[in-house]
Amino acid sequence: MGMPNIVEVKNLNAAYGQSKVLFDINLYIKPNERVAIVGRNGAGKTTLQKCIASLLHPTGGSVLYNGAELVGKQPYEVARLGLKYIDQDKHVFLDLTVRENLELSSYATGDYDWDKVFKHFPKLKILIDRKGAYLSGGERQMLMIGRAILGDPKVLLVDEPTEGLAPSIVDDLVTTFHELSKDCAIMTVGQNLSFVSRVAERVYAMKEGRLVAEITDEADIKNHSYCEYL
Amino acid sequence: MKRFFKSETGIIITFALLYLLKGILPTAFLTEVVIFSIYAMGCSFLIGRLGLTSFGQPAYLAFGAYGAGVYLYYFGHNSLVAIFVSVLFSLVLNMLVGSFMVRLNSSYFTLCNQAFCVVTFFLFQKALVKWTFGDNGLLLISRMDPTPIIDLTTTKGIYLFAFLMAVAVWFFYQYLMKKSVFGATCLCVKDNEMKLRFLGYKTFNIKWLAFVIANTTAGLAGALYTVYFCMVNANIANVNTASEAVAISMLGGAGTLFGPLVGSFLFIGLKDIASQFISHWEVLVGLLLIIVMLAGEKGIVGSLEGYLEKLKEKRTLAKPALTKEGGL
Amino acid sequence: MIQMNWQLLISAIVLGLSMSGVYFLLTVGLSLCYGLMRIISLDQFFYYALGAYMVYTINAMTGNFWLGMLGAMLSVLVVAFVVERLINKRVYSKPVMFSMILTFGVNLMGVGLIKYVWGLTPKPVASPLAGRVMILGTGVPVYRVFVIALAVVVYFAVQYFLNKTILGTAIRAGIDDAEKVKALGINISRLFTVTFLLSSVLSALAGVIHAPFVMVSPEMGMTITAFAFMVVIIGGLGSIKGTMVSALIVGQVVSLGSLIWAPLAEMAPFLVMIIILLLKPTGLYGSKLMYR
Repeated sequence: MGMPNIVEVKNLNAAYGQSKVLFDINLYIKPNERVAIVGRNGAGKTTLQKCIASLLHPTGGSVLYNGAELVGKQPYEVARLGLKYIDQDKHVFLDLTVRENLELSSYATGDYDWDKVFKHFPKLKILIDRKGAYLSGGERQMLMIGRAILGDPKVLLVDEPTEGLAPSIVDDLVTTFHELSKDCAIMTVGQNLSFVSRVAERVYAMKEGRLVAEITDEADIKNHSYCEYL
Repeated sequence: MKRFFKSETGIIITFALLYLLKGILPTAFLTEVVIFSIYAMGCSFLIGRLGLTSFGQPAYLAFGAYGAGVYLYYFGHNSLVAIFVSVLFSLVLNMLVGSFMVRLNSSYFTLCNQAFCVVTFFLFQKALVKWTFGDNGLLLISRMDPTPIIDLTTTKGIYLFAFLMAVAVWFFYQYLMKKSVFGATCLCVKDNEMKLRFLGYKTFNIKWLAFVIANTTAGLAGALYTVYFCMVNANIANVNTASEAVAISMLGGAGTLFGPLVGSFLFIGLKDIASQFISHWEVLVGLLLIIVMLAGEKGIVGSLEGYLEKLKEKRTLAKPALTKEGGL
Repeated sequence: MIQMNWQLLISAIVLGLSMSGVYFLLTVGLSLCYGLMRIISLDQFFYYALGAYMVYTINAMTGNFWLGMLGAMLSVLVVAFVVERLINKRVYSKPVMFSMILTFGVNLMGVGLIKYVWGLTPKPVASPLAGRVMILGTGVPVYRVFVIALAVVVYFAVQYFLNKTILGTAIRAGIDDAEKVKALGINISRLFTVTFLLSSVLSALAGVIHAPFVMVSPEMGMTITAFAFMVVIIGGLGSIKGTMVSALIVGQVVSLGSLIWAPLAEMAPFLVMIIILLLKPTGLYGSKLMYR
């Protein structure tokens, strides 16, 4: 393979206090790749993503991003390096307008080129002065992603992007993800298997804190054959 | 070991040992420790079991202290009756105050209690100065008659009495924490009040009752202080001491049975020893508070219990490992 | 006779307004700290007292009050920075109680140090602006009017800072959810420090402008604590506008209350607080957002 991995996770372990939640996770993400992690509730998907984004501190192992170690870095440093995490609860800052939400991201990354945000999400331009509290679920998701792509991240970690969204908006999201992956790698986590099958090029199955399978075959992804592992 | 220290015999033996310590340590110190630990018990219960931190404990201490003081000064001469009256008095007051305070969420509860403490201090110091004599206080030394059975006017008598009261309080709280449904619902309030409400409990009643119980305990301590010092002045409600009860609860381990006792012993001991070297007590107490807070959340007894639990877990885990391969 | 009462009333109202100014400057920091870091920073009262002492010292040395004001704010900036980096930042992620006891400890230590350095005797600070202005036929000290004006300026400056600057936007975002601000790539720890320093400097300013009203004494921080709390509680924790409104209320209640019956000055705000909390348990402007 010519292209080096942009993210490489090696022997990652994590625990909440006494209870271990991740056991020796090994995975990789290639540039511009769309990866999905599937698994039941409590399998540790969100924990894994948060560990990669340094929002949680793993108890062992390493996360390499472009060959540089991320474990031990502050979350804001990781985000500035170009690895952004998008939370599952679609939390835009309620008291801030769309403009201020974007400004904040620009301030953090030094990237004031909002045209690329509006290219993907033209609707945000119309809503620019609306407060976060008055946005719908789909609009919030747009803002979350739009906010994240400022600063040209190389990896987006998106947690449960389809949760609570209407089917038509999910369709849009599929298109968006395909377009976004021209510029960066995307790793989503989810239980919506039809969404996963339409977006992902590669799927990791996760069970009880362990990665149990890696599915690369397109047909296997399409017909959800990984369900047996869950 | 752990079960032992949660049982009735544990309480009796602990206090018996403490009582015997008077051979080595000065009686005055031990008396203060015991009374203070009664005072801290209520506070510890509120923090550890209910998740409510009161920064106004001196106010509730003062209710009890003034209950006893006013009774002895104006009405009777019997210290035992005075203590009984003051517990009733603070019970009634706490019922009133509690019905307001427990409506608030935790941050407001904390702040409101401190504000309440300041107002109580002001009340006893200035507004009611005609009856309480403000900073000079009520001097009771000539107004206390010797009492039958245990003579509270002697240092030995009050010392023994404080011990007996402490044992009673500990039995009561042991029942409350370990055996009653009420204690369990209190923990639920701390964990998730909403969910308890969905289960059909009126959480206001639970919090109110816990508030009344905890602060009446503080009132009892206040009454004991009055009888012990033979006087009471406005300084007992001074807000500067508000953090001490909370700090002692945290030092010992909030919500544990023996936390307040261990905390009081260490805190008062350290204060006594160090105040011989440093003349400005503020610097010292401030430093102590900072250290206690940075040391951790569990406190001494809390960490000890955690350690014992781990030991027990190891022992029980070790056995099945012999027969089964790995954990399922 | 009626003329006399009228003048008394006017001057009481102006006094109340200037008290409101002091309360506002002192509590805006408490409110900001609670909003962003979820701490109740009782060491603000130490910075308040320290500010007053610094202005006293510099005023006594150079005779220049304004230089003293500057010096007080700068010295508190340094002290607050050290305290924040060494102590306070360790409790940001913990329940409010921790920060309360911890900062109370800092406050107590501060009182002890002040007693050690400056002694127990209260110190007078002369008002830098002598003279009176006539308001509605009543002579009012210029300095009181200056304090009111300063508080108004600070209020608008803080509002501008929070709503129009990028740092202020970040602070508002952090008040909403600090975790997400991190994920955006903003150094939240630096944001905390900035907010804390801003709060401390405002507290010091409160101490400076309050110094000519009262005698500067070691316990002055403790004395004002209850009033500051009442202001914060009535207004609602974390709300700047609420803090302003309730500072106005408490200032007037204190000033007019003492006109009627002296002990009322300290009791009445408490009664107001109880009534407002019974009607609205989160204070006037405390929102559900702050319910954590």
